[in-house]
Amino acid sequence: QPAQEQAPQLDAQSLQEEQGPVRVMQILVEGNQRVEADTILSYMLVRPGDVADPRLINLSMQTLFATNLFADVRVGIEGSTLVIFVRENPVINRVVLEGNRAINNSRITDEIQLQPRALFTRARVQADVQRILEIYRRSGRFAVQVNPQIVELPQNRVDLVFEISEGPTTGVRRINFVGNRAFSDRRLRSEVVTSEARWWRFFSSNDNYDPDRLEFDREQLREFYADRGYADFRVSSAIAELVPDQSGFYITYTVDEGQVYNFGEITVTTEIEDLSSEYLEAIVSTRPGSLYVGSRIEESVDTLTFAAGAAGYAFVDVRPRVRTNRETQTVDIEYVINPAPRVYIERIDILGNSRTLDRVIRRELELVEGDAFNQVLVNLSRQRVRRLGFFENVEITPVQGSSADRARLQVNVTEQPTGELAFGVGYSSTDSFLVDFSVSERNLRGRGQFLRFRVSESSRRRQIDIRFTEPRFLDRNLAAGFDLFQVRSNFSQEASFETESTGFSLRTGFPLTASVEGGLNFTLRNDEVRTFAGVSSAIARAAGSRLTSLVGYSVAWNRIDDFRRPTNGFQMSLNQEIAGFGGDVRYVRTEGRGAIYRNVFRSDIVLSLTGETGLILGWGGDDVRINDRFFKGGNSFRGFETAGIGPRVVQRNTEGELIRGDALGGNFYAIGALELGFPLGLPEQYGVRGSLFTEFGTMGILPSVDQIADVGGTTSAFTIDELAPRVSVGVSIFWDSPFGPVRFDFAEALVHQEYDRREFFRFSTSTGF
Amino acid sequence: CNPTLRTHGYRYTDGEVPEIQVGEDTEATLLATLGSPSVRGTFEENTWYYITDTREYLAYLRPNTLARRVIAVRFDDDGTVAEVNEYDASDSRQVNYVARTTPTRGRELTLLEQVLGNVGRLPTDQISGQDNLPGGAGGPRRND
Amino acid sequence: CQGNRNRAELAYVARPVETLYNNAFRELERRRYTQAAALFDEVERQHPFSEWARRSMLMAAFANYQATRYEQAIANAERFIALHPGSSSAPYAYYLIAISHYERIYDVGRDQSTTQAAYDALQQVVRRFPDSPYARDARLKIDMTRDHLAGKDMDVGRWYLRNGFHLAAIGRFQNVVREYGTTSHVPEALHRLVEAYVAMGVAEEARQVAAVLGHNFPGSAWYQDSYTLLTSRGIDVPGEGIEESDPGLLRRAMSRIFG
Repeated sequence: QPAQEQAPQLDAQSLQEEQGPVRVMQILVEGNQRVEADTILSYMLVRPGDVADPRLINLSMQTLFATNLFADVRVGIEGSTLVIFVRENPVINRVVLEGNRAINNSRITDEIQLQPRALFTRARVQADVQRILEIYRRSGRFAVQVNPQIVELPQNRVDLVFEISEGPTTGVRRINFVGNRAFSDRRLRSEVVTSEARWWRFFSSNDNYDPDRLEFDREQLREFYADRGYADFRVSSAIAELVPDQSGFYITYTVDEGQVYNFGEITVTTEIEDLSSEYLEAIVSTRPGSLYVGSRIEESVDTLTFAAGAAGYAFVDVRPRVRTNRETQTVDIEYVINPAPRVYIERIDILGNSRTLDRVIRRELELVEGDAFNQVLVNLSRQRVRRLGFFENVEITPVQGSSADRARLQVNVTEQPTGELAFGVGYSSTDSFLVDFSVSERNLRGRGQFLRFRVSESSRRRQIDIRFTEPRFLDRNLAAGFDLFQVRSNFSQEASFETESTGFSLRTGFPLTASVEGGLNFTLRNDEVRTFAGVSSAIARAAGSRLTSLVGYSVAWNRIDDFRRPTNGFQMSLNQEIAGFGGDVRYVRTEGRGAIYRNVFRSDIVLSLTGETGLILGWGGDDVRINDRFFKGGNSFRGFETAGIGPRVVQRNTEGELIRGDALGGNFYAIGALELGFPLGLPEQYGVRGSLFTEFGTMGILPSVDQIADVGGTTSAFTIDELAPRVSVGVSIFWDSPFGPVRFDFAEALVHQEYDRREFFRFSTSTGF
Repeated sequence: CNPTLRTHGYRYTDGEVPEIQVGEDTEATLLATLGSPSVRGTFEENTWYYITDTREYLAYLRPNTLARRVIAVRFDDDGTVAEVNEYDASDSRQVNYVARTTPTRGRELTLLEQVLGNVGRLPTDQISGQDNLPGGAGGPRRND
Repeated sequence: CQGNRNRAELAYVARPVETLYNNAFRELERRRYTQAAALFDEVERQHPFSEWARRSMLMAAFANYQATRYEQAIANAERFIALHPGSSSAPYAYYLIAISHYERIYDVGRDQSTTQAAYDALQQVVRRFPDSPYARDARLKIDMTRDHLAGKDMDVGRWYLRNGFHLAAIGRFQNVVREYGTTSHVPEALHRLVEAYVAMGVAEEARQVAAVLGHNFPGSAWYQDSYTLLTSRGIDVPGEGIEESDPGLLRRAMSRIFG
């Protein structure tokens, strides 16, 4: 039955021959219950007194029918009156859903068109059946059947019942690949979004079969291969077979990898005379002879467009012509630069920002009204607005402007909630229980500002802080903000003292170049140190409360490829704090950190070398107190307890061995770590990785005032402070469990001082939800 | 650290400015060579302005204007060029813009409202002064 | 948590239409608008062909409007117009749609598509029912939406000006002068144009715009600002003399603004 019923046609000829042209004196409407006669008449093109022209009558019948108000419309002529018979579509009294367990009523009723009080038409019912099927298909159920039932009610009303039989969930049982030689099934499985259904994967819905996601996966595979030299890679087929008992799907990708290609001849051709091809061919990132990488072509188009713009040709259109030749296994690319029409942007309208302020978005755009239209800058702008993280979706579409050479840009954003309530619980062998609670808003008052209130409490440390950041201070590329904090740390086990610092800091951060970030801050805090009775003078000296007022700066140079799990590149940072602008404490604290990451053997094995060093010096006759000194060991030096290495109060026992006392911290430290991270051979989905590491370094230099000489004998305690080297070696296991990251460290201190506190096993986990 | 340069506004092809002949060039010839102007005079339709602005964006500094070229072309009534003036960056003057703005309706989102994420609306009584009932006094009751 | 279930979801109980209508009406009187809207919907659902159905469709729209549920109010009113285009309360239905859109206008810093929707709906009311009581209020609200749209251009124009994008700023302020010539923003727009042209050093255009500002809004603080800005930059401000040197300038300007 055709979805869209045909409007009944008045067959014009019969009317004509029978009575010849008839003048209509009166028009009557019959059969209408709900719709008033004059509403129907208002649609009629024939008025009393006109000639009954069949074409007009037909047209008016069609318009009447198009209103969807009527199931049937018929017209007859009796004498000089035109009579319109209508049979109105019934009104829906109630829409009832039966048999839907997996998807609740409201999700279905929101999606379907037929609602109570709406008009019932067969076409709409069919359309709604399809909508219900689509909802189930999207949530992975393909064996669902829906048939609509009608319950007739008096006064031309009906109840509409959808009987749904859901059938089993059709998850993806297995994904396998045919024809892949270069990369293992497991490696390819980690590239596609669809994943195999596993019991622990209850949060994600990616393990349901969804045809559009299959399409997306084909593209993912093509990009993966294209970036690794496989220019003519093709997914010849992607089949999803339903398992006989309909409990799930097997997905098979048949791939035709083809050969590995290098870039062959790279040429730039342009009619614009004084754009020199040689120069342009030099700056393109697709270098002849190098491995073919698909994404580099897109990059080169951007670089060429920019270069032409800089040379005074704002209106250019760059098209890459790609020719792969199988014999020489090379891909030749010819970039053709043609002049494009001279179009300027007359207006940029921002739509959909019901919370974010217009300027917070506008300041991210690379284009300004009046500028020449440039698609590369439009793409760049879209990326920068998306990076704000306030929007689910950002689209920038050019629209024809007020004249041929004018265009308007419409920046369409869809807002997403940017407030977060985070609650985390953690446990570690040193800190025992850790609870973390925070409320944050990333787009405060639509101004793009960040505000977070956070409390974190563990057995040794409690921190309460409020953080505010304005990312574009004074509309410049300058982030500024402040922090209010109170930190209570309990070092009683390690160094028998407790500190409570309360204060605030003002900070700014700004980019110096594309990969170098600078920062300045001013901090004013009151540190209160409480020591226990009978503790050695080295610690007792620090008791009491002092005001620290310091100014600090930081520089960070960042060239790593991925923040979460770096595999290549390096990172270096230096920061320095000068305390003594007022307040009672005067010191200069300098810390530096560097890290280099390299892929070795395979793409998922990473060798990293990290080094960090710090030095703190009192000035103006002020000696650094224990609470400002460095404490290393534990997470910062695996194989040793927290504050396990460095200067310490000791006592000699009768046999002449040293009994460990309180740690004293040191003014200097230098620690390095060489680590090899690798997957443990378990399937990627378990998310388990291991690493072999060795850590080496030293810590020391106690201010002279805190040193107590060794007068021999076993009675008096004394301080020991040697910059002795320590080395440890060990294994760590990381597991991204569904409950959060879990980490086990096993480390043996090979080279250590007799008085150091060693630790073999360390365990920590934290869950956020 | 290298600044990025960006040219805004009108773009000349390959850098040189074609000569505009007073008395000879007309609106039509200029449209053909230079294309339509960046902006016309606010009240003098027959004054065209081609405005180009090259700016330097460097890290956190406020972007500064390196070069500017404003070509003002005045046509007399029959459309031929009567006068051509050029201005550049040296003509620009420091202006501290008046902070006052003409008030507009509409309420800023209150802090609480924003954090809770629901969007406030524009109370009509603040604007039209009548009570909030649509159509002023009386609603549907009145005309049924 | 999905928020409390909509309490107004009534059990399906068939009741005579009058009692249903009166219950709904009492709810409306007691300003419990969401319940009233649900009850009016019930009237229409159970007795779709009665005279009451037609009226309660509109009453439901009004109740939803009062309960600030503008989407539902607009939907009810649009359905009423589709079914009863010729009814005597159709003007009210159009008007209800217009002011529902009007209520959803955001401040000038945010998306103005709701303002545009309100403007179009208000225009419909004035065009279809020019002498209805609603047209008067609609005309008043139209001026406010135009003023609001002009305010949006001013907000963006000022941002461009402050950040040194003079050409973009000029484009926006000229748009205010040309498209929204009768709104409260024209004096400021003219002054901002003077500021932009002075900043670029184009004294001649600055003088002309200042002259028009002075002529049309002599007492306004904006003209005062332009005056001090021009004189402090050594640009002579054309007093009354402008008319002799360029006859017809003011007339053309006036026609442009108030044309």
